[in-house]
Amino acid sequence: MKSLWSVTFFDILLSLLILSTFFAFARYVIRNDYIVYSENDLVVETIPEQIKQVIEKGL
Amino acid sequence: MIVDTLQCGWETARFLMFSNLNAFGPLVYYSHLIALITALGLGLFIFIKNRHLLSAKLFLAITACFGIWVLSDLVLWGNEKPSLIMFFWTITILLEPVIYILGLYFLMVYIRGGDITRGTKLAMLALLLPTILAAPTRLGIIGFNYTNCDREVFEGLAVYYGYLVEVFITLWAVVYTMRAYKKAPTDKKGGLVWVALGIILFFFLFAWGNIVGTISEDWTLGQYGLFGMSVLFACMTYTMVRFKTFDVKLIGSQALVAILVLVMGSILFIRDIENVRVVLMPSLLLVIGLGYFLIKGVQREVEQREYLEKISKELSAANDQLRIFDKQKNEFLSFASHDLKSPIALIKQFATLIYDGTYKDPVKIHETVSKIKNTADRAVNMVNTFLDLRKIEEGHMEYNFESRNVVEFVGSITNDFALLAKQQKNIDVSFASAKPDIQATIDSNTFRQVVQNYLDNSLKYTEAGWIKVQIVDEQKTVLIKFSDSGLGMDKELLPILFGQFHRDPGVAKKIQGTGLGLYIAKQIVLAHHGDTWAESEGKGKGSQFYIRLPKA
Repeated sequence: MKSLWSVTFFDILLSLLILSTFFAFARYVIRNDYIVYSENDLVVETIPEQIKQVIEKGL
Repeated sequence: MIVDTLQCGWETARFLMFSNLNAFGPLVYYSHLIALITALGLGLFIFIKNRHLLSAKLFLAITACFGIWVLSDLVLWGNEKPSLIMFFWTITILLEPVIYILGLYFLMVYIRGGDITRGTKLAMLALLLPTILAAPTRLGIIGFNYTNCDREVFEGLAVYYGYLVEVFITLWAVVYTMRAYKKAPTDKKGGLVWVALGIILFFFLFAWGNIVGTISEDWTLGQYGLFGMSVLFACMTYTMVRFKTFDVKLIGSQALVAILVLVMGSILFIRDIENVRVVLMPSLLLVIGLGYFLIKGVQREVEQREYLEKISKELSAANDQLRIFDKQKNEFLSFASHDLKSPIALIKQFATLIYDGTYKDPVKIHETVSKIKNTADRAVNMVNTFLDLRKIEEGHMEYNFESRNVVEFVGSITNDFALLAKQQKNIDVSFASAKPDIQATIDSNTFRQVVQNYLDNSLKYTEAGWIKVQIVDEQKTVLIKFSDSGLGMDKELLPILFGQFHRDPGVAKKIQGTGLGLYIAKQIVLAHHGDTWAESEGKGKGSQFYIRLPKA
């Protein structure tokens, strides 16, 4: 029972970490979903489309 | 590209090459790579050598998480893509409290010598849950900051919660260690202090970079914290070798020297700091030379300590054996002076009565001579018992094994004994067997002695009632059961009953015996490749003695 529990502890921890990592990856890397702050701490962009606009403008 | 637009002038990281144009230059690589190589190297070494140990698994888990953290940190400081920086920053936020929790878990397992309680694990998971849930949301990172080309993010509430967890875990570790130190035996205190010091130092150094970076917004200063990781692992290595925390023996010191040589050697090949080579070459040679002597020294120390531990264990075992012999000698002397002396004194007394003419009546004289004979027989039996004991102890007991019908053999002894029991105490002795013929390989002389001994014991300890002898035919063995309605015995007495000089203290004074009969019986049955044991429900509830022999 004890060893089963210790496996469960690591299982839960690892599952949560993998899930959280997956969500972070999906959000930031795949969807580019984040806010960008420029000079004077003003929000210049939010989410994907606006980010793309900044990139295009830059290019 | 965004980078060019904002005129930050960042250079794309080329891994395993050192770029001066990333966030901090070579410093980032040194601080990260040294810590990464040391941690992963030691974690793997310890795990390979001690796969079955929970603490070794935990140590590997810590070093693996720490390795991923260091790599993520390296990627985010050497990267130009905001999306990747955001992602890897999240990984570091996720892993930091996990590393602290695993560190505390490791410390607890080391101190307790076993796994921690379910409640503690639940508390640990509960502490981690908010960070894990909030990390990929805006509570983890609010957004990316381009303001000063610092390549940093705005951290959210979850990050500050994570720092709180880190402080809490560090305090927990300190308090836990202090409490354990007070209770620990003196010889365990050294190892405990070193391991706890290693872990707590690790906590402080690891937190240093983040807390300083967050508060001062100067992340360069924070990188120095990682240099401290090598100090931690050196500390752990020392503990492992000196206090044998794990069975790594020399590997710890060898790994330490190898890592030092590797790190110093790699610095030699970095073109940007060519001037350092002048200082580094002699240092590297010095590390190689001193490392060799360190390994040799540790090897000698380990060998000497192992030799001393081995001798000490042998001495301790020999000492225990001597104590047992001494106790047996005293018991024998007490037996010889009391139990052997009393029949001789009786014989002398009876003989004197006849010799000095006190008894003149021939009937009285005959009666007294009969008493003298009986007493002498008892004394001779005692001496024979001792001779048997000596033969058994020296391995000189002679056995002539032959296949015999156990039912007939035991039945015949029981029938002869039944007459005596009826005559002496009016006790009924019955014999029963499911089969008339069960063959077993026995030595008639010694096995008769065993059966006789069990029957005599039953009669000695039964004042009224019955004695039953049963033979049970088992698949490959035969079971002989002697049960009586006698005095019985406490269950605590059962395991020591077959030892030398062990008798029920409650009846030892009332009923005569040497305390050797059952010991000799057990040794004889063992020589027959069988087993014997006793059972009793308690005092006044009778007792059962069993002999199990293999069939012929």
